[in-house]
Amino acid sequence: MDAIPLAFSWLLLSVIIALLAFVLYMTFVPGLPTEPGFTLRHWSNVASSRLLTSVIPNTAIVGFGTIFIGAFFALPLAWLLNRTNLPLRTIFTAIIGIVPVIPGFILAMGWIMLLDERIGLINNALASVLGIPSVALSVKDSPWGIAWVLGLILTAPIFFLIGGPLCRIDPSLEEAASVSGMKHLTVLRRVTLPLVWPGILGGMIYTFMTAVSIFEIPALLGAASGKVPVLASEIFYSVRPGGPITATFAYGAAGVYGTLLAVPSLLALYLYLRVLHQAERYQVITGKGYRSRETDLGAFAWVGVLFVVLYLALAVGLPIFVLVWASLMPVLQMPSREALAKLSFENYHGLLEELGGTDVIWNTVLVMGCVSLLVIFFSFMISWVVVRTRVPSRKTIDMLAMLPHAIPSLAFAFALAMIAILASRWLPWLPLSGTLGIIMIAHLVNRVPYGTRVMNSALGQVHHELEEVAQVCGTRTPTIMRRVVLPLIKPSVVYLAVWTAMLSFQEVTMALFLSGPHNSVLSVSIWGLWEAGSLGTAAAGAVAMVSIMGVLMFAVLKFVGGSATGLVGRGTAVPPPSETR
Amino acid sequence: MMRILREVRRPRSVRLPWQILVFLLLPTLFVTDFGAKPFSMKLAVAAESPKGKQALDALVAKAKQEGELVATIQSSWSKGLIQPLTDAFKKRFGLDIKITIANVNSARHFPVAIAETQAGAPATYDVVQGDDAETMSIVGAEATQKVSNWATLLAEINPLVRSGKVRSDAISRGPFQDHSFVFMANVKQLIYNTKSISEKDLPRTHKDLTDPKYKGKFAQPPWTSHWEIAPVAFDKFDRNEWLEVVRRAGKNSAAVIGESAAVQRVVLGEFAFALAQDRYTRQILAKDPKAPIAARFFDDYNELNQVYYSVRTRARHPAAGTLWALWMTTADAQKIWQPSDLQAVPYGDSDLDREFRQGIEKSKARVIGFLDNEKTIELLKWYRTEEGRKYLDALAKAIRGE
Repeated sequence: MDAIPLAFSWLLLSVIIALLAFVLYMTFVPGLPTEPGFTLRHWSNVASSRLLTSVIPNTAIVGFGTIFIGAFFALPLAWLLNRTNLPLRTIFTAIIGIVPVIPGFILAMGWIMLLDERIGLINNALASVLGIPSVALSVKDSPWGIAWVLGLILTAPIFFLIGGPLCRIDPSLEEAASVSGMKHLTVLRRVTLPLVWPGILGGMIYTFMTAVSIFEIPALLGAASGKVPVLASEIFYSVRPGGPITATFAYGAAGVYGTLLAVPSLLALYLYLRVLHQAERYQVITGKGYRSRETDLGAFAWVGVLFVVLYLALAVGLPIFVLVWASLMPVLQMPSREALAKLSFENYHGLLEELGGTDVIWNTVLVMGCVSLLVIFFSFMISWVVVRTRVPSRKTIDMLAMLPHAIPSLAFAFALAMIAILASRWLPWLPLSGTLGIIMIAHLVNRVPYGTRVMNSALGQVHHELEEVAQVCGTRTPTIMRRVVLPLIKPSVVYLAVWTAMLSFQEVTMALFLSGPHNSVLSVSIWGLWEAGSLGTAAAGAVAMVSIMGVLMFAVLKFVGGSATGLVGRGTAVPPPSETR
Repeated sequence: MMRILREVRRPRSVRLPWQILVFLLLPTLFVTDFGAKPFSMKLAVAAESPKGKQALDALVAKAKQEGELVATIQSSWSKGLIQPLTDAFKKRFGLDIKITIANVNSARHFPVAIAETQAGAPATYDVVQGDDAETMSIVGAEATQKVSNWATLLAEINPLVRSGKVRSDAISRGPFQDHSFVFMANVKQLIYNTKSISEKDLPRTHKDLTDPKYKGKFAQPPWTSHWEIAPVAFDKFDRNEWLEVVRRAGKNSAAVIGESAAVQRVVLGEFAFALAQDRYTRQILAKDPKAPIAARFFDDYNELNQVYYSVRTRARHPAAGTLWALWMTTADAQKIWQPSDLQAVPYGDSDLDREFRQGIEKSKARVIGFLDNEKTIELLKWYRTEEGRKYLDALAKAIRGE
């Protein structure tokens, strides 16, 4: 009964283990992994005073600063949009869903236009109010500036990760606290927040891991110049050196930085799993027969709306304004009367051709569709083993499935690229290099940790009775999975599919590294345009990209059930009691 | 509940087994080219006959047999150029082969190309383009293959060479001879925002970039091409002293970013000036003639950056790749890409090429290329040595202020 899901689980986990082993192995060989020899040179080269005095401290500030900013916005947002009667919740949630699709470099550019000592709109406004020549306030060349921009972007994932648990809290606990005389805020602080602590911690760890792995935003804001070096920029420059003549991969150094980046993430992962383990012992969140209680905000509703609007203005409004502005300008200039006269739709002419034509669109659709299906399939298989079986290795499987999130995506992409090159030499019958398949493998490995979290949660909510009835009727496990369990967790599956598709749509780092003449995708085309100096066309492409994803997000929300509040939570809710009993 | 169970028990004979189809089709995702021919290990593309026409005919026949070409173009070129270039190339040689052209950032791809060569794997691209330093890296790593009889073939393909207006060694010489063919060039200079800084306030020499008055006012790229030609630019040159100059300039710079992005941010007003190629000024002014941007040469030296096509070692379609590399040196190809890219061809005859040469002459700027003379060629060769590579590594780090 457990053989099929177990086999598929180990199939994927073997790939993950092999990639991790490859990254680690690279750190001990002098050159290419096929060449003989053993060295510790890569470790000793990397271990410099700069690493200790600036790279690691900067990375820590960026990681923890991002958590702080993200939590500052995400926690109130999650509560307001999931547990209160705030107006326009569906629309607000849908707009938050667009945040991950906006290219990070656009948001960073937007903040440079806002906060820069020389050109910043806010700086200039402040300077004229204060009657001083300039205001020394900038997002550049400071780890705090990087953390601010990353925090705004990563608020959305925290919001969605907390939304589910918030929705699933049994309201009787809060009601009991209220009856005991606790005030609203005390209930929130003493009852609600502790109950969703695993969710909050999970969201924070996810944020930390993501923040320290992102390259392009720190690069724009100071890492590329060496002023604010972070681990992600160090690994990036190891595998993409700046000097062309020295253009050889620092194979080992890339592995060392990847390993270093994994250490805090693994530590955080260990803490997360410990909290989850403890949470199971006093689990009070049941899956049956209740509806979460909504707090009536009364006259304070407008304060809540203002807070949501403030976040949306900073994280969505500003970058979309910059995107649209850049897409309408022949050459990006600061807003002015003179610049207004130059606005045109020139960058939208022949946009499809500039993005690579229908081939690129088709490749993108294929990657989005296939990665979603593969992530759902493998996450379901792994979660089935973890949640539904008594296999002794299930806890190990669960941990291994989470492991890729602790490793920077660039390290995986680098390992895959190397494996593809070696495969084209030694296993020519295994075409990996330059295929869509290799991009899909990278995405699959990268998304499975999140997929298994959603699936674990969803499967945990479906009672065993349902499968037992089907078994009694003589139904086999694969049929039970397909015809009983999957329909019951359909909203979760749809949510996971859409979220995965959106992340695949906008992912650029891995795709960039693995792209060849035949497997280019839209995000790589847009990045290529930006990198090559066609900012206007890149912005026009990004506007199209954000628009498509916005429409898709609204459509999915409609499909999932109107309100998007706590999609995960909704996705994992059990059917009404009348059907399950 | 019972409804679900009834559904489960329903006979499945009428249902399409789509899952099976999906799994059967999954391997096709790993196919890059359904019509690809088996990998050929042919190395040298040699025309057997010394006569130009015969040599070319033989090469074209081989290209037809290969049936395909995978080539790169500059990452900054418009994708709109791909079809006209492909059509003109096919027409010139009467080819009816599948051609894939991709915008590729050489700095990003060349490490992959070198890794492919080291691993003995076939090349992703048959023919690739890159500037002096980039090309030196792949030629040095034996990631390019020799084109035998290239001068005869070039004379047959390029009318400027055939007519004697351009000597073949202007297109392939020095350490690149037989391997790489120049098809365009640019000069590294200062591009500045006319609203942020006046021409007279700009630094005159590279050393001036260390002046505290320029701190935080300029951007430079992470690559070494603005600094690496210096050893031949000065009579007295001390490598360590120069490294210190680069380091101080690196610490003085506001950002270390790609040239195109830096120039955009110069237009935005974020930086007063940037070290970049001459073509960006032309490109920005072509898009917006009123953009506040202008360029100036340094007084001490300005590097001439030439761009070459090279046929890759273990290329799958070496004959087609050779034809492409040689054809891209012609005025026919130039007419297609130059109007939008606005880079000059050093031996070219277009208005832009003449303006490019006259501009340098008129300004009396000291422009130095790696293939100018024996001294510069020696320097380029030195950069291939272990000592040279280490020096370049140190330069790259110094640019970031390390």
